[in-house]
Amino acid sequence: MNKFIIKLENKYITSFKELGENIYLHEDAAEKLLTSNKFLSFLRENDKGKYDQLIKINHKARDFEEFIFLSQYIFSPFMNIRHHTYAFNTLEELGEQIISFGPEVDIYLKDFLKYHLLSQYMVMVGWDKQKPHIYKKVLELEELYLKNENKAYFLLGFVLSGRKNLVYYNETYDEPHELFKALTHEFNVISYSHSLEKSQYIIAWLTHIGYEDAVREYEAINKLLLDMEQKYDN
Amino acid sequence: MRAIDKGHLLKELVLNEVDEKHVDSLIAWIKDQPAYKELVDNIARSKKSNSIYAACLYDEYFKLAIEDIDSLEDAFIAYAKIIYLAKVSRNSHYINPLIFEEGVDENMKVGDIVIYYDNFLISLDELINSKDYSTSQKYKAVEDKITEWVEDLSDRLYKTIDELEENHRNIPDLRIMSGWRITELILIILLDMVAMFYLITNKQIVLDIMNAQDGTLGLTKILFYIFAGLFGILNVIFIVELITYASRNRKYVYARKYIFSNKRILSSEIMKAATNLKKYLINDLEKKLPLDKDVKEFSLDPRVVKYIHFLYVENYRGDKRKNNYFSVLNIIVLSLSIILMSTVVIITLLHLGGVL
Repeated sequence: MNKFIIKLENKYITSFKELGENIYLHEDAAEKLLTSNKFLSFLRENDKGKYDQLIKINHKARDFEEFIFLSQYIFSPFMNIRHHTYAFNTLEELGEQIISFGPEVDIYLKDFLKYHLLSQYMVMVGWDKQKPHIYKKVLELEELYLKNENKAYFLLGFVLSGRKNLVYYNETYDEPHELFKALTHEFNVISYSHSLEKSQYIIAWLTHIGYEDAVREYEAINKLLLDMEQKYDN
Repeated sequence: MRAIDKGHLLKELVLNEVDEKHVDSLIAWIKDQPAYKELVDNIARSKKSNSIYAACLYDEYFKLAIEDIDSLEDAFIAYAKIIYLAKVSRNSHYINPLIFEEGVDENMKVGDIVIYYDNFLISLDELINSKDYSTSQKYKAVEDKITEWVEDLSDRLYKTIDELEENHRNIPDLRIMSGWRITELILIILLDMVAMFYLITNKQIVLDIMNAQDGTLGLTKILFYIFAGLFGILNVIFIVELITYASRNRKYVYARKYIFSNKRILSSEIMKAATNLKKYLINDLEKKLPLDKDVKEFSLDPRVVKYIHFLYVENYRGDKRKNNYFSVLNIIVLSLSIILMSTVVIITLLHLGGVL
C-alpha cells in the first residue's frame, strides 16, 4: 500500500487505523472525506476489501450517523464503542454516561438506539452471542424507542449500568418512597411534575426496578385522558 | 389535566398511598372545568327527554358519584368519563327528530344531528361531505338511522298504549277516589263528626277553656288551639290532595282519550314523518347540500308529542309507585288523622272516666 497523509480538520492521519480511531472526533470532516471521489479512488487502488465494505455501508446506512459509526470500524475493527467524541470501553460505561445526564437527554447518546448503532456494534464484536440477555434487551429498547424515545433511552442507561438507585439532580435515591417524599415537597413538586412525562427519567427507573405495573397503569390512564381531551376539543 | 396531578398520581400508584388533600383539590378542579359544567347542563336538559338514550346518560352521570371519589386514580378515570359524557350528552347525540321534545334547542338543524357510524360519532352534515364513504354507504347509514328513530318512536307509542289498555280504568295512582283516598275521606269525616259532636255536647266546657287565662284550663286552651289548628290543616291538606289529583286525572283522561281514539292514525303519521325526513336527507345527500332545515319541521304534531310524553311519564310514575303505596300527601294526611283520632279517643275516655 502507498504511504499517504490525510488531513482531518486539524489532524494529520498517516494510516487507515489512525483514520478509524479519529473519525469519531471529526465526524463532519470524516464524512466529506469518505464520500469524496479522490479518497474512494485511492482506497480502491490500495485496499479493495475496505473499499467494498465502505460502499456496502454507504448503501445500507439509513443516515449519516449510522454511516460514520460503522465506517470507523472498517478502518479500525477492534476499537471500543466510539461515537461523536464519546468513547466507552464497556457497556456499563455507556449506561453510566446516560444516567449521569439524567433527567437531561444527550441527543448523541440517543443515536445508539435511534440508528441501531449499539445492536450493530454488539453483532460486530460478537457480544450478541456473549451477552444474549443484554442484546435482546437492546433490540427491545430499539422497538420501544419508536413509541417512547426518552423512556427507551433511560431504560438503556439503567439496563447497561446495572444501577438500581436513581441520581436526580445530584441526589441519590435508593427507594421510590424517598424519591417521592423529596419530589412532592412544595418546593419541588411543580418542576418534578412538569418534567416527569417529557423526560421519562423517573418513569424509566421505576420500570427498571420492578414497578412496571404501576407505570403501565399510569401511562394507560394518561393516554385515556389525552384521547378524551382531544376528542372533546374536536 | 394539570401536570401536578399527574405527578401525584404516579406517586399514588407506585406507593399505593392516597393523599386525600390532593384528591379533594383535584375534584374541585374537575368541577370547575368546562366539560363538567357542560355535562351538568346537558343532563339537566336530557332529564326532560324520555328517550332511552337520555335515560342511559342520566344513569351514567349518576354512576360517576364524584363526591364519593377517594383516590386520584378514580378521579382521573372519572374525569375521562366526564369529558366523554359531556360530548355524547349533547342534544345532537340523542335527539329523535320525529319527536321533538321540550328542552331541545329550537334552532337545531338536521345537519347537526350526530350519529354513530363506522365506530365514529359523526354529524349528518359531516357524513354528507365525507370523502371516506361511498354514496351507497351514506344512503344505508341514513336509512338505518331513520329506521332506528321510527322504531324508537313506535316503541314509545305502543308501550304507552299497552300501559293504557292494561289500566282500563286509568292508572290507580291517578284516580281521584282511589282506595287510600277513600280511607282518608272516611277518617276525616269520622274525625269531623266526633269533633262536632264533642263541641256541641260540651259547649260550656269549650267556652270555659276558650275564656281561660291561666292555670290548668289555660294550658288546656293552648292544647285546644293546637288541636283545632291541626284539624284545620288536615282538612286543607286533604282538599289540596283532591284538587291535585283531580287536575292530573283530567289531563290524563284527556290525553288517554286522544291517544286511544287516534292510535291507528298515529302509526301512519309516524311513517309519514319518517318518509318526509328520508326524502329530505336523500335529496340533500345526492346534491351534497347542507342540512339546514330545523329539526322540529320533521317532528310529529306537537300535541301528539306532548300527550305521548305526558302519558309515558305518568305511566312510569304510576309503575314506580305500584309497590310504594304512599305518596307524601297520603303520609301527612294519614299520620295527622291517626294522631288526632287517637287524641280524641283518649280525651273521650278520660272524660267519661271523670278525670277531665
